Amino acid sequence: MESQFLLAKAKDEELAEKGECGGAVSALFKYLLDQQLVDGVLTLTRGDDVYDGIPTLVENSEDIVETCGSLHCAPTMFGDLISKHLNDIRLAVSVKPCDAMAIKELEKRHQINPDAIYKIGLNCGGTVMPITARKMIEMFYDVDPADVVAEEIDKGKFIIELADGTHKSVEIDELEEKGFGRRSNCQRCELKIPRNADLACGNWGAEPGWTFIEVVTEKGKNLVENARQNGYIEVKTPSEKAIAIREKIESVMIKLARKFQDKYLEEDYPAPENWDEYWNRCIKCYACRDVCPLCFCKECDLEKDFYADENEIAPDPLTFQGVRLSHMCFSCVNCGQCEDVCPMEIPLARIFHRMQKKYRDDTGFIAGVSEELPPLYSPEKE
Amino acid sequence: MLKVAHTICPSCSVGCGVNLIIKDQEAVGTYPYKRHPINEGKNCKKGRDSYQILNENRLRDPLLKKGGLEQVSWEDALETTVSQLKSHKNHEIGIIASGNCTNEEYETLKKFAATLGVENIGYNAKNIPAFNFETATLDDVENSDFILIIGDVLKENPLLGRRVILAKEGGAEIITADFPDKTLTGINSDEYMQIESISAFLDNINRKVLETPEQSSTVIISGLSGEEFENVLKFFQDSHAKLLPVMEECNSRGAMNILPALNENELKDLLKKVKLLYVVGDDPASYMEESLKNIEFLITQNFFINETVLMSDVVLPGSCWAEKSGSFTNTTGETQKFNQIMLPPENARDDVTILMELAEKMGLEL
Amino acid sequence: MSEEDVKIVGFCCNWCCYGGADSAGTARMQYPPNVRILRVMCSGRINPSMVLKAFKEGADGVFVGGCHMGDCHYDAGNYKWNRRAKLVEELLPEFGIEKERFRFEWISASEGEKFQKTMQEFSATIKSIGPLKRSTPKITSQAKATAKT
Repeated sequence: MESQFLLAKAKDEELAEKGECGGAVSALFKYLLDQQLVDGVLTLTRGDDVYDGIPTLVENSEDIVETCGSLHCAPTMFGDLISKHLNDIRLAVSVKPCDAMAIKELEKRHQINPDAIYKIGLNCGGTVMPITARKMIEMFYDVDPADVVAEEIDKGKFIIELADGTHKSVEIDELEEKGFGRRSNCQRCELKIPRNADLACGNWGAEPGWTFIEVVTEKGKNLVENARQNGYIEVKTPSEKAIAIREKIESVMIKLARKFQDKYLEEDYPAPENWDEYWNRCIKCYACRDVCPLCFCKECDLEKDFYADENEIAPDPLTFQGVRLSHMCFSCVNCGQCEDVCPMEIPLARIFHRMQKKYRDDTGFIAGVSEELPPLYSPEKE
Repeated sequence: MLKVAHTICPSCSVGCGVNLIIKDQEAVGTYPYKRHPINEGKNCKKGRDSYQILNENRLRDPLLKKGGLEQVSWEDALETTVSQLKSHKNHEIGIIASGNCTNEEYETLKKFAATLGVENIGYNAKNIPAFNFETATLDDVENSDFILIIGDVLKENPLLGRRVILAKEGGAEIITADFPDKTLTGINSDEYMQIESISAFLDNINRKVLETPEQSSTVIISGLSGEEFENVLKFFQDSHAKLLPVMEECNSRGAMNILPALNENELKDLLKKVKLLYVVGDDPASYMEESLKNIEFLITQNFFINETVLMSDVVLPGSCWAEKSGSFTNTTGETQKFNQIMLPPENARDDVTILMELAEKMGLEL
Repeated sequence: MSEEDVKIVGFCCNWCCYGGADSAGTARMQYPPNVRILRVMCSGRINPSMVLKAFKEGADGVFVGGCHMGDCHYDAGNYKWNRRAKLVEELLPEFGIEKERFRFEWISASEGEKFQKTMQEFSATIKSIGPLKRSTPKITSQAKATAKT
């Protein structure tokens, strides 16, 4: 269907107040749980502090209010959490674009049932690693990270709020120039508005107290309409200007992402010698494979005897990462999880993202966005 | 029905954070805990597989030896334990723990032993002698200009190894010494020295590099025990470098702070002295089965089945780490609390509770 | 190792390229002895891991030969291989292996001459770039350590 734009907010006062941008997303979740259209809602809740986002399954609609508010220092991934552990229930999930990309690929591979899931997309400018966030708040804001009660990313700034209500902000450009700020794969990410979900929600172009929603699928359209009819949300049409502002923000961010792609994947890309040094550290712990949301085989080629490295201390990169790349790189959604979890600090997402980009240039297939499976899986004579 | 919850990895002494995925009261996987300052969501294979410890070979009921081991009620198990403890003199009773218990359990055990007047108590220190000085922190390692490593930390303790890698990326010089002709830490160091013996290595080492005050140096000692370990400590203790001995188990350092550290010989000596042995967490049958033959009555408190459990007269099923609250002290001396995030299986109980109940039934006030 | 000693692994499909090699053989058309042929039932059987494994085991060049498009004994095997081959071409340079060390062709059972010519060309290419030197920092630091002690 053709996308539709609208502004929405929760009718429930508590949700409207506690939720981000009028609490429309929370209200939609509440509607789905109340009407028993889903068995659970998978979303993030705040753990020990603002740097701690924990995936939480909410089964009782009264608990939805606890999940309100966005967390930018929680680089989580929901894709494989759903395919491995939540495939037996009807689910609604709040998704960042990378979550939505992973889910989309898993749906195509029959690992997630698309009929049993509502994907409420959240616009995303990127996430920050929690420990990086704490370090940069100490260094650039001169604030004890423990004193931060809330954070947000707006107009190119990372903004923190302290207990006494004061705000401090620093330009993200400045943070990133010094090696802080968003994760590098987020810097490179081109999908800021998750049009691969049922709805794409966010504050870009929205009036204060309202959520801007791009309705992407029929399922999303029905959800919004029914939630409105049942009195969970109110909606109105955004102005032409609001739509234009949102488009502008998106295009600026995409342009910036492409600049970062050039930087990380071409200009500053590690030379083969550097890669050899990285591969030399590999402890073959399989963290990259196990965390990859799209790597789901029960029996893995990498553990086959014929790739065993006899008398070698680090695995041969050709038959470890090489084989992994040959299986997965074209499907890489650049979620960055492999790099995040590598105990040996190998910048894995860079090689995978670079290869997916090449594959995309060759074939037009965009992992997580294209409707069809990668052409490599095609049985056709083409 | 699905819960992702924070905990501390029990697999080695680094003390990484890990999230457990718990579905319908069963641990089904792990999830990166990126907020954790020690490992930022990175875990080694052992850490990611740690959830399996909660599911494998679990003890679910108290057992009493009646010919073979038979399932009994807590009442019966505790009663037998109490009557046996009471019928032995204090000096005939021995208590040994492993390095995997919580600090709270060590404290309770210590009090229990003290109140009962039992002096034969200690933990299996895996032959690492007790020491008492401020060790290097993980941040010290990462911010070092020079690191001397004895052992293969990249392989054995990858999340400590990561700090070495970060130090190297920051320009630090890394020198590794170890026995094999090639090690993972070795191939990632600026220099690898294959050594034949620790004494020969110490004789030839140029200590000057460690005495430069403007340079921050760290010496990481891993895989050594006994005399070798002590000699290395002695050699570097008065140098300018910070030392980081790598302990064996997740709470060896905590145990060292609370209970006497017993090496294998000392454990064997203890067994010669006592007639009743109370084992918490440890598996003496795996390293001194012969000595266990002297023991008239063997009581084991553990969460899973091991050789010692199978030899025991009474088995008290305890909890695995995620099923209880407590704290571990990692190899750098940092104490980290963790909360109970799931229930112990069937009739297994919290370990401190077991000890407290036992004390109560003994008429002891802890 | 001299340049003459370069090793080339050739995966040839049973129905076409292997037949081509056979034709070359029976017609006594000489092709370089560096090429060691592995027969597979179809080029569609080959996946990138096999090429990577060949390089790991010390091949200096890897050749894959399948049927001409439209001639696949299993209908679409060579189309599938063709798609994988493109990925292999992109992948190898990431590990410091020159694209030229990998070649694939469509050769029918009757094209003994094409087989001979392809092998000659490929062997010459590999000889001109020389044996594959994979960087092994493991050995470098090892040598350094031995030298010091």
